[in-house]
Amino acid sequence: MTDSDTAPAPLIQVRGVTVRYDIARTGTTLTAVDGVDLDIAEGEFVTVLGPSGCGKTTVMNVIAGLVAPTEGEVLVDGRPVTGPGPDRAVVFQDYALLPWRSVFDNVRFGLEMQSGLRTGDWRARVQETIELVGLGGFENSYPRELSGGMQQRVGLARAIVAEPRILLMDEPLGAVDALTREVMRAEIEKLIAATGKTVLFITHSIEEAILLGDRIVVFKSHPGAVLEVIETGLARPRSERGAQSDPRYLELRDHLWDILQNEATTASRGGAGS
Amino acid sequence: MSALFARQEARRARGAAAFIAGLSPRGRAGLVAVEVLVVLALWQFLVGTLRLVNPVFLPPPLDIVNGFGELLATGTLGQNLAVSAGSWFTGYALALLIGIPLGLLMGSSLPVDRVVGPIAWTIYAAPSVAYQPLSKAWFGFGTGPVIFLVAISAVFPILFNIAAGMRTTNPSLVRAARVYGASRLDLYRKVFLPSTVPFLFAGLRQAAVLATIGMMVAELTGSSTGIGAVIIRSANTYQTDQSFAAIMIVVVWSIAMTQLVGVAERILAPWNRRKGVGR
Repeated sequence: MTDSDTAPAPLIQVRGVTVRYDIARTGTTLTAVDGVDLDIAEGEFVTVLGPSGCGKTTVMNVIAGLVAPTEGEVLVDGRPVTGPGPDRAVVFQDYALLPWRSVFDNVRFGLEMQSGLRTGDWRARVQETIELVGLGGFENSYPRELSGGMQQRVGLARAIVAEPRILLMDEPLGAVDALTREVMRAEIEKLIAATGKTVLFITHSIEEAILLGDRIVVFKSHPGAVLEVIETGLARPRSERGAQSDPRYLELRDHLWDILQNEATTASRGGAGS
Repeated sequence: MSALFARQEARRARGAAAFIAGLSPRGRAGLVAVEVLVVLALWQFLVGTLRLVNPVFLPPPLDIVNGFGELLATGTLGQNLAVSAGSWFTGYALALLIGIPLGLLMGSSLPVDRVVGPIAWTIYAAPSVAYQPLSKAWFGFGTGPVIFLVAISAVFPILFNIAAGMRTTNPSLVRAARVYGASRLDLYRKVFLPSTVPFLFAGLRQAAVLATIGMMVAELTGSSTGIGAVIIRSANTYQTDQSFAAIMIVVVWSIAMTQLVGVAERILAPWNRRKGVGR
């Protein structure tokens, strides 16, 4: 896609990003994220693993252009991020669907403010995307009529309908029941493999981090920072049963488990503040 | 949910209470009908037949039906109901015209809220009766004071509810809209405004009841037309059967208007099917 063939620059470059919030009530400053560096290559699937409140969502929001960093910057395709853009889409943990819009109109929302409705076949595109995520027949349903898993399928369709290069997913399966979670994880893996998108996937599930990621970025909390970056090196597709008995999977799982447990213990001892 | 629990509860319990708790919606309606019939029959028997109280003070149901017939036959009912309805709808429309834009402004701008809010709450805190003498001085003795009191009674629930709806818009929807390229104007049109709709209808329902009260207050005190005037005039001439008939009409009116708001909501906001009380 880029003209430079010799060692292409990473698609996403996070450079020394620090985010601080002033808390007016106590007059103190909270450092949510402290000096995060991260490069993500085009087509890479990166999972971010860490305890709740470790600032991983904040980093994602900076990449999305929703939060301006206090220090540092994010480059996408070499250009600094100054706000949201059509090259990046977000799938939210709480789905964030507009309750007054049907499934069709919620998916259309991903197009309509990016001049996507000017192309003649946008209806067909919305319809195809709805069918791609397995919601054919539910075009006219309202979000409240759908299960959590189905609502997140709508969220996913809305994100990919405008064909962004980068998909940012903030614990997309966090609010979905366990069985649906398994099914949807496999579907997401297949979908991303087919479309070749660059993905940043936030999770607090070790299993999800290993089974989806090419690389796993482990976060620590108080303040949020990168603790370790691990290449998974597992063959795809990993949705089949075998992946979870692969020795590499087990090794990764034990290692991540140790890090997170260690981290959780220190956090609960030292991190009294919320 | 609660109805389901009530029914499960009923299966475990016994007796009349259990029977009532376990009724279906249609059964509950039947129960109310039986209840009303029993009360009416008892009332007719005690007052109409036994004459336990002077029927001038409490006319028996059949006399009220007669009174209703007289009001209808003489055209008094039609004329005055038309006047009342005219005042009600004019006042309500004014309340919408003022309440919706002002509520949106208050909800979206903190300075406006700080300036207008305290004044609005102060006016709202006083019962609408208090403004009645003033409204006479301002608008004379026609339907002016009635329209004024309807409007001032109805405007505040609309205003405050819309402002609250605007302020409580789900921030995650705002974030999502920004991700997909919403401009400031898009945010208002596509997120904030639709978010206020359920609040608007809650306000409209309250406003419908308060508007009817405002209308009664104005019409009962020195108005020569309207249902309220019919109540006063008939009571002053001891035709209390007609007074009661007119009161019944006000009750029916009030219920009908809140139902009308409900119908409007089901048509205009079909996505907002809440499982709440009385729905």
